[in-house]
Amino acid sequence: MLGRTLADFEKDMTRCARCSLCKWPPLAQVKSIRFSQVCPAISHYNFHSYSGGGKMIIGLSRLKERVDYSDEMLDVIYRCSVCGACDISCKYNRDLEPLEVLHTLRATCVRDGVAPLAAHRPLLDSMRNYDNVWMQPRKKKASWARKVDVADAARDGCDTLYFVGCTYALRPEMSEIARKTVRVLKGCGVDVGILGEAEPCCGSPAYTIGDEELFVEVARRNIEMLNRLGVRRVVTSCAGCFGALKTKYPLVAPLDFEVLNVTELLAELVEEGRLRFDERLDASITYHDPCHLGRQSETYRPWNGTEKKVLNHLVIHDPPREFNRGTRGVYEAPRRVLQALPGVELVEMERIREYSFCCGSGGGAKSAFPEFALATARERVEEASATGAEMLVTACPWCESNLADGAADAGSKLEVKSLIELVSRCSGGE
Amino acid sequence: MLTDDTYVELAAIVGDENVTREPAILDTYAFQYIAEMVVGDSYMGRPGAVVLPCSTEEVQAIVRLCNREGLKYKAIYTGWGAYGASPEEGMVQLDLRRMNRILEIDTRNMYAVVEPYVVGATLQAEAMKVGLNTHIVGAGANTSVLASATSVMGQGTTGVSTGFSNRNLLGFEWVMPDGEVLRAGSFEDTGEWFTGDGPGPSLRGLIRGFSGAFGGLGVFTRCAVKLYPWYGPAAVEIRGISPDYDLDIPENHSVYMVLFPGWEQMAEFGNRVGEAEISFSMCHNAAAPAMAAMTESNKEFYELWKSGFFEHMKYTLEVVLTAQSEEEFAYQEGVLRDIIRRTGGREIIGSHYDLRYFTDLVLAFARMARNAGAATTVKALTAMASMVSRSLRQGKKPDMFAKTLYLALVKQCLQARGIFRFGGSFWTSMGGLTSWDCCIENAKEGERIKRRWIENGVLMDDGAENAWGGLYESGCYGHLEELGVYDQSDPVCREGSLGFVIETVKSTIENHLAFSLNAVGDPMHAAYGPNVYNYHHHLASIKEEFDPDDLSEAAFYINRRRTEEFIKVLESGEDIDLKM
Repeated sequence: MLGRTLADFEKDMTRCARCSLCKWPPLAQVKSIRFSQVCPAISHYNFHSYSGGGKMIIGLSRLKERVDYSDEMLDVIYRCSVCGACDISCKYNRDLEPLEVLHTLRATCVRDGVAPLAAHRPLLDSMRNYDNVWMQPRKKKASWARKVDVADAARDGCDTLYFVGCTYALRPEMSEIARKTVRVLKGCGVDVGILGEAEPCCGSPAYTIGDEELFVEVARRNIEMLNRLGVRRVVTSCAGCFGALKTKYPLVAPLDFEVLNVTELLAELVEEGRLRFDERLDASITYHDPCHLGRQSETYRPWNGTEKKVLNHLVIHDPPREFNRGTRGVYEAPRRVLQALPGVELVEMERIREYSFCCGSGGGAKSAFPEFALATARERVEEASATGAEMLVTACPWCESNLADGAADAGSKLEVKSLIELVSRCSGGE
Repeated sequence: MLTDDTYVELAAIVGDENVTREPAILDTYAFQYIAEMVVGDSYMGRPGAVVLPCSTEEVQAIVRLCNREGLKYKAIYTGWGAYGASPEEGMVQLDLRRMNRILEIDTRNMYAVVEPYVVGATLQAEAMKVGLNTHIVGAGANTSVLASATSVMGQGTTGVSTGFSNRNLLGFEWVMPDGEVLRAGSFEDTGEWFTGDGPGPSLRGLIRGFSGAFGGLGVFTRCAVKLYPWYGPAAVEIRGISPDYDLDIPENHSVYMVLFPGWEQMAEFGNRVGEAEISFSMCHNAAAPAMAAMTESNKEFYELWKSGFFEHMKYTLEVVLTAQSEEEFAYQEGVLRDIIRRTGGREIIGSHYDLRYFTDLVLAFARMARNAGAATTVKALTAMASMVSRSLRQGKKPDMFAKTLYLALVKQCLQARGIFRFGGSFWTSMGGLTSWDCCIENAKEGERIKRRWIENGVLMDDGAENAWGGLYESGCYGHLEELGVYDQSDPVCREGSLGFVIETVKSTIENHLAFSLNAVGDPMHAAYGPNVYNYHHHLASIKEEFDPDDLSEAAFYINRRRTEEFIKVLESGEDIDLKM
């Protein structure tokens, strides 16, 4: 949610029972001691303050002015990938909003002028100045598509806009995924177009870092532009962009288009028989659920009611309030696509779907605390390796990049791949 | 007071990254569940520093340093509850989170050796892989196995077949209050932890007794706990997405919630099933928490509860059977159903869908409807039909209640849903170990007292009957504690909820009911001690012998002077004040 203050969450923060449920997967899902932690931050830094519940307490202490801002306090708040695993585990049992508190705590830091951190400022400046997070000139945003035959959505119109995202568009080592996405979609007869140089940043990093003002500015501008295009749907292959467009944009303004992740569209195409696979892969694969494609892909329904108490102290909400518990995340579509690939054996890690262990890249962690991000990726790679899989597949450039770093750092032989790459390979592409 | 020099020494022991005195971090240790009942605020005293040792040697060095510098210290394990903190500021808080290994699972002698941060869920997951299981306390699978075995009371729903934490302790490694390390039980002599009682004297009674020292008697760094056979799969496979998980109840397992006409029949059933030694789990969850566990939100709970019908789902016991073979299962279920019949029970939830079950279900509803009246029943049926219809549309199956109940009882994973979700917090009273029949008297009295605290608006109206507990060691004894739900953010509750506890404590004394499981800290010892063989003298002597300088923070253990002062207050006719 946007525009909230810590005071809005005072009751939630006070009602934290400090039970530590936010540190484990939903308890029913604990499968071993080795992979029993779900929060990257507390796993790495260990002080309770790093857990979801710990940050609820910090929010309360700040609200009550028990503590002043300090560098160490900011470190605690930002050494977190805001992956939302704490939120899911808490909400398996409770009606509280830890993730909203985490976000509001960051937004409060920004409003109070003590954040963004120095490491995050260049990224946000780049968003402001260049419409991307990689400090690249705008015209470079179209470089990836130079050799791709694809419609210009603004000029030619199209049914489906492929929103590529800064990373696939501007990181040369990842741009091939964008090209393959277009080829696969076009090969299936999807009327797809792109924005090229005109594609803006989705604004997701501004939201996760807590710069709501910048995020709203970017989102509002993007929504107006996308609504004007008149496309039926916008498809992203970046989970970060998907999370922003699908779950945060509706809080800013109504969308005249449907938002899909490419894995959803691919699953649909497979089911319709429009996407067929002729090449065998013959590999054992495990799939990593990106946070913004999985548990964080539910749109918040704006709720401005009041808390009501019945039976003296039973807390309910008037009008009734829907909690996002990760139930409606995109979990099955990527798995259906992978299982449709000839010769693929899908083996699951212990922490999956709504209680997936984060790759460690999100929330500004990779840019500000690379060691933490890397350690988190190593942990995930170890979990993937424990399945015996040869490949760790995901559907997010941030996850892919960080997990690849983690595998390299761990000296793992595990190949980290994008789902699109495998789809392309099995459908006759390169 | 912690000086800069001492802080540097702490850092030298554990490394710079494992010690802090940042106020924002310290506050996350001061903020504690039920702090409002102890000190009237959400925060206990802020520690002077928090340290994260990773070994017994580091714990020992910290304790020795605190002794040298005259600093109070206290360890937390998972750190859930005000008793992990201190009402006063400035102590050194040891967070044992980094000591998180299962050191051994001995399948032959059926025990596990664990470090402090191993929780019920993780030990159970590993034990089940080798055909064993662990007792998990009622607080849930997110709590430290070692903490409940060595330092806190530890009853859980499988106690009828797995005993409980106090009794499952087979040995421990103890950094004593002065920093010396002692290992008790058979380990020191044999290298194996198969018994806690020697060679040599057992120290279990000394270090923990009934309630445990709540961190007031040094630090426990390892312990061995007894494991029990698990006649089930290596893992209970769960399907679906939170919060509604689905599963197949394993072969030769089943779950029941049995409704009785009254307390007496429920008591009789518990005793008989205990004697028959057939059940894996047997416990009483009152209607409100049971329904809360089976609903995904307070909203969904209230839609069902507001009709008033389910308040009549009273006098129930929940049972899980786990057998090694089809024949054994048939025997267990035959015996169970025979006892149900003889005690007038009805299966209101079950997982064996035969004519007997459906007949019982109809009769159970008829019994509740008779008590509730026609109008209330119609309202409830409408709400249930709506919930079931919505659930079916969401793809849930009609057997979801039985499956959720099984999951809750076997994995101890829904405790917070069943009690914290309502208003935010709860506290509990009564609940000492006693005969099952006396437990029932506790529950009756708890309900009577609580009704008044509901009427005056301090506690949530959960139907008043909200006893929780079960039977232990084949029904040799049991415990039923009375839960009072409140909202810790509400000044009415912050001010008043302690009153409910005080009244129940007095009642247990006046009516010769079981010692309260809340009997921790000096005010409680003052209330109970003179009525129970002056046990507080013995407790104080233990504390003074091992910790003459009173440095192992003991606000929830004992201090002779403070206890005696409280006794004088009580003797003068003044009321007990439990706030510290």
